[in-house]
Amino acid sequence: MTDPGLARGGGRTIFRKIRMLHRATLLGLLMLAPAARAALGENRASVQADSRALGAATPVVTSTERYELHESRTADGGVVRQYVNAQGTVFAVTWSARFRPNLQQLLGAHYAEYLSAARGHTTGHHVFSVTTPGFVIGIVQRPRGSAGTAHLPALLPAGMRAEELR
Amino acid sequence: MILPRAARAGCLALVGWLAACGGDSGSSTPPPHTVPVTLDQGPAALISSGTVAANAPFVSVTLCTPGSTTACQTIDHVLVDTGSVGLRIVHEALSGAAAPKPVTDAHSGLPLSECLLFADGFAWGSVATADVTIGGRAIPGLVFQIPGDPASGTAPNACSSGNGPDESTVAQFGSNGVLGVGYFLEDCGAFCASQVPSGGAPFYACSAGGGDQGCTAVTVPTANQPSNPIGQLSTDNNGIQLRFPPVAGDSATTVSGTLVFGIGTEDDNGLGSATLHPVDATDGTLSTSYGGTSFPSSVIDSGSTAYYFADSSIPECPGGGPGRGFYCPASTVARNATITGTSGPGVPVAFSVANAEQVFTAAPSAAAFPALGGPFGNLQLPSGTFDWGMPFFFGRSVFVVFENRSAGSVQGPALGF
Repeated sequence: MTDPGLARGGGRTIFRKIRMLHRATLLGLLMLAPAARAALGENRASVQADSRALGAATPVVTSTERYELHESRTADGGVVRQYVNAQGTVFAVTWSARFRPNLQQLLGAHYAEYLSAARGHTTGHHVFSVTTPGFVIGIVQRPRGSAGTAHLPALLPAGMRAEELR
Repeated sequence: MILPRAARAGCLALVGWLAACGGDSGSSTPPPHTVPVTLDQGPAALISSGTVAANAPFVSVTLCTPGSTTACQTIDHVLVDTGSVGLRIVHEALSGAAAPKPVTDAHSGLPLSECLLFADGFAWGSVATADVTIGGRAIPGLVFQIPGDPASGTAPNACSSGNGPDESTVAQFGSNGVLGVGYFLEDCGAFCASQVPSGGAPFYACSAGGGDQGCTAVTVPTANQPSNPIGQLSTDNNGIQLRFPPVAGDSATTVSGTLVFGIGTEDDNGLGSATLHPVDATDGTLSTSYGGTSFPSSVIDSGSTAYYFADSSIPECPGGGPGRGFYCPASTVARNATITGTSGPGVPVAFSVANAEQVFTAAPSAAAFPALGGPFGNLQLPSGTFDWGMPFFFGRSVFVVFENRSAGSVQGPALGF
């Protein structure tokens, strides 16, 4: 497994640089450089960037006591949900869509952990899951559909169970 | 020797398994609408990479240059997969004896390539036609995919970036190819004939070299998409049946089963005692009730290694051991679930989950494991999936009725068992 600390650090550096750029330039970069965006583990602003990059409508935000749920509809009628905790950090993403959203976009710096685990995965191509102390992901890929859940256990709001993610 | 149909039917009724009716004797030829299926540790190129196949049902498929009966190659270890649609032969497994003909984009005239997404990666390669023979049946001009075909050039970023690792070698693919016999007649279908998805488009027309410079996402008519080979047959084309004997104990070195074309179209391919359950026409899912939870997007998938489901009461295997990714209960646990189609009554299903690490360690040369279970990161996915993988097929006849086809009075897509 790739050292998740290294991967996350790299993503944060890039993200800080982007935030300093003019908004119009930022939009241009978002179109060109998927590796420079991040969602899971990043701040609330990245949710909006994600939605634009995924071709999804502006997210509908629902607030609960423990988290904000940003729900976007993708162009193919699918749904992407991003969960933001009280500190303003995306701690979970889920999706269910005909065509899978870009995982680098959704997982941000944690994409490196997915990639590393997927490289070592040899037991079939339709389901995939990895559970580490810092990062949990499960994906189902069907001929005409994709669904998945990824979350950062350490950032779950107090009292929330991962099973509550939808 | 080919047994007359009446004799075959009688044999089937008596013995229960077609393979036991002479398919293994070496002295008889199976009927043309049946194909022997074998579970073993996989193709040489996989084993030499240090990996062996588990719960992977394989058939052989013959490809010929379109129009030729001599420029042919028989490819072994092609995975029979009810969880995908279409034939895919990894380029590395092609000897060059057959020359598949590229399928071209109608607008640009450029060759078509496909980006196939897996849960753990993607496969990029050309779309081509060949005259294909499976069992005793020929499928002239079958459209299929060649993952890893160098003629496709580099995958465009929309395919290769953000979709995991490239899985286009035999070692990564896990087999020489896949024979996708799921519910649908084409892999994408009408959607891709009229629309290009905004992200993750499956089809591209590419000039030499490919990449973002050379490739453009395009619509593709259904006739030019990789299609379900069995749906393309002139007869016995309403669905398939997979028959496997039960596996005693925790493992078996090999298991022989049968892939049968058609449902109720020959004397020996009827439903028997099975019942059909309609599945969701858009994504081929049905419902499973397990442990008080409903899993509405469940699948029955011969391409999945294990029963994959969330049950936090069963411990996962240690991450560093041979059981990584599977369940490791202290001793084998028995579980019950109910599978329900989009209409009709539910059917109870009993199954077991053994300690995968112990099972693998005890039988290093085994290829079939009837009590293999695995987690989804202890999560219920957003769409609620219970994946009934290959272990479900042992000791059963499982039927897949294709979309736009019917078996008896039941319109596909439907599942029977």
